[in-house]
Amino acid sequence: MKDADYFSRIEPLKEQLYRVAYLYLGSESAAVDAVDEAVYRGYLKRRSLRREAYFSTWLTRILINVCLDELRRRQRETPVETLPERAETPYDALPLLEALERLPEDLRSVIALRYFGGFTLAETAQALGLPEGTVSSRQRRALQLLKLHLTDDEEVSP
Amino acid sequence: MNRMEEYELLRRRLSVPPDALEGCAGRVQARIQKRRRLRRRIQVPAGSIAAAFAAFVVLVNVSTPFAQACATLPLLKPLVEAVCFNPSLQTALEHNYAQDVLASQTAEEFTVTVDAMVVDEAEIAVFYHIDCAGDAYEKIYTDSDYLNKNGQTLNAFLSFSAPLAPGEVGFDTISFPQDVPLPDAIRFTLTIRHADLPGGGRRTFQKDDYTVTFDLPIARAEVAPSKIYHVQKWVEIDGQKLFIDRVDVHPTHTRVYVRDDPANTAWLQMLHCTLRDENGSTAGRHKNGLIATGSMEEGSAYPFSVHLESPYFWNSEHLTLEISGADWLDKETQYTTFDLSTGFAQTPLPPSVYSARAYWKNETLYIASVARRNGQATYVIASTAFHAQPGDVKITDYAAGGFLGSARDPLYVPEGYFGSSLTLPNYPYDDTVTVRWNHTHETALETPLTIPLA
Repeated sequence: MKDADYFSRIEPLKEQLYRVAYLYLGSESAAVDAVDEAVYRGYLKRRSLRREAYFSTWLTRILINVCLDELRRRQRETPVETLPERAETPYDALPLLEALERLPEDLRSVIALRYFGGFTLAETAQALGLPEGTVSSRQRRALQLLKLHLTDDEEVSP
Repeated sequence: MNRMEEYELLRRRLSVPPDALEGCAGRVQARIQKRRRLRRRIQVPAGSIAAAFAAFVVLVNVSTPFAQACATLPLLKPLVEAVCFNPSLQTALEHNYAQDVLASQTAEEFTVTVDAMVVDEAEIAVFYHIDCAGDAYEKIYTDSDYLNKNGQTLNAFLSFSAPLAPGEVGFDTISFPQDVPLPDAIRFTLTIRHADLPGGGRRTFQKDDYTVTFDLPIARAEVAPSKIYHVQKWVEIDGQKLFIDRVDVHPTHTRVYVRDDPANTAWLQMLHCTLRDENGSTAGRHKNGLIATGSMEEGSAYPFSVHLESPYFWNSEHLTLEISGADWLDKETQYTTFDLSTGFAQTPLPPSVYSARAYWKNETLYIASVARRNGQATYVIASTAFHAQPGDVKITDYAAGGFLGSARDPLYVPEGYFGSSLTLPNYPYDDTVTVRWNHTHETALETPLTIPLA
C-alpha cells in the first residue's frame, strides 16, 4: 500500500477511531494521542495487512492495543480496579462513562466498537479476533451490567 | 437522566470530534520523516560514535544545561523512554551514564541490536531492541540468558524485559550480590520464542535458528565508584533488634544491608525505608526492579538488603535513612496447614493474611489467599508449599499468580486488597497441604526512625 493510499484511507476512519479510543481512555487529549499512535504504528506495519478490505478492523485492532498499553501504563502509576462482574456490583449507580471505564476489558471493547464505533457484529468479531458468538454473549452481558436496553441491530451512525 | 438518555448524550458528545484530530495525518507524517532522518544519522562508523560519546562525557561534567539536553538526543531518548518507570535508571541515562554498544546480529527475519549498557559496581542493565523485516509482528517474546565470558553461570539475580514491539527498546537487569565482583565481560544470548501476528494469532520459532549471542566487554574506566556509608547501628522495632550494617548508593539503585539478632522471634522480610536529603528529596522503594535480595534466615547464601531508588546524581550534602516500618515472618507461626477435605486452615491465619483457602480443580490443587495491598506493591502471599511436616519434601512443581477480584476468582477481594494463588498441578496427597507465608505481621511506626548517614 502506498503512503498516499494509506493516509487517504485513514481520513474517513479518524472519527470512528477517536470514539473508540475515548471510551477506553476517558479524555479527548488521550484519545487523540492514541489515534495518532495507532495511525503511526499502522503505517509501520502496513505491509503486513494481507487484504485491504480489512483495513478498518485491522487498524482498530492496533488502536485497541495502543489503548491497552496506555491503560497498563496508567495502572502501574495509579492502579484502578475494574469492578467484579457480580450481580450486586453497582454499575448502574455510576455515570455511564465511568461504568464503561470500569467494565472488564473484554466487555468494554465490544461496547466501544458496537455502540460507539459503529461496527457490525462481524466487524467487531474480526477486529477483536473472536468468534461472533463470543462477541454476542459479551455484548449481552455488558449491556445487562450497564443497564443499557439496546438491541442487537442497533448501530451508531458515523 | 436515565441510562438511555446518558447513552444518547454521550453519543452526541462523541459525534463532535476535537479540533486536534484534524492534524493527525500531518503529525504522523512528520514523525515518519523524523524516523527516516534518525535512521540515516545512526548509520555512522562505530569509531566516530565512540569519539562523540567521549565528548559528551566531558561536556556533561562541565555544563548542566548540556546534561539536561542529553535526554533529548536521539540515541539516548529511546533508552530514557524504556526506563520511564525506573527513576534511577532514567536519571543515570539523563546524566549520560551509559556504555555505548550498538552491536547488531541477525536471526532470520529479525535483527537484534544491543544499544547500550548502564553499569555500576552492583548492577548491569542491558538495553536492546529487535527489528523485523516488514514489521510483520506486533509483540515479540524472547528468552534471555547471561553468562560470564567463559560461558559459566553468573553469580547474580536476573530480571528480564517484558515482550517488546518491533523497534521498542527493552532492558534486562543483572544484579550482583554484595562483594561479588563485576565481571570483565558478559555473554548475552537472546532467543526469539514467539511473536504475535497483526489481527491475532501467534507464531512460534525454532530455537536454533532464532538465537543470537553477544560478547559484551565492560569498560571499567566508565564504571562510577559507588558511595558506601558504614552505618553499623542497632535499632529495635516492635521488640525485634536489627543491625543496619551499611548503605551502598550506586548510580542505578541503593542497597540497605540489614542483619538481625538471632534471638529475635521473627525474621525481617521487608524493611520499609527511604533516603532523604537536606532538600527534602526522597528515594523510596526501587521501582521496576529488585526490591530486596538475600534473607535473614540461617544458612542464607546472601545477606539481606533492601533496594531503594538512588540519590547518586542528586549532589546531596547530607542523607538520612528513615525507617517507617517492617514486615515480619514469625518463627513460630510461619506455616499454616490446610485440611483438603474442607479447604480451610486448621489454625488461625496470621494477621497479614485476610483470607485463604485450598481447593481442587481438575486434579490440580490451588491455594488462594488475600492480603492488604501496601501502596501499589503486591507479592506472593503464600510463598512455598509442603506436605505434612515443615522440612518435609518441598513441593517444587507449582506456579504463582495473582488476582484483583472478579466473579471467577476463588476469594472475595475487598478494595485495597489483592489476591495471590499457588497452583500445584501434581500434588500427590489428598489430606493436607502446608504453606509458608511471605510474612505473618507488619509494623508501621508512627514516628519513623531516622539515621543520618555520615
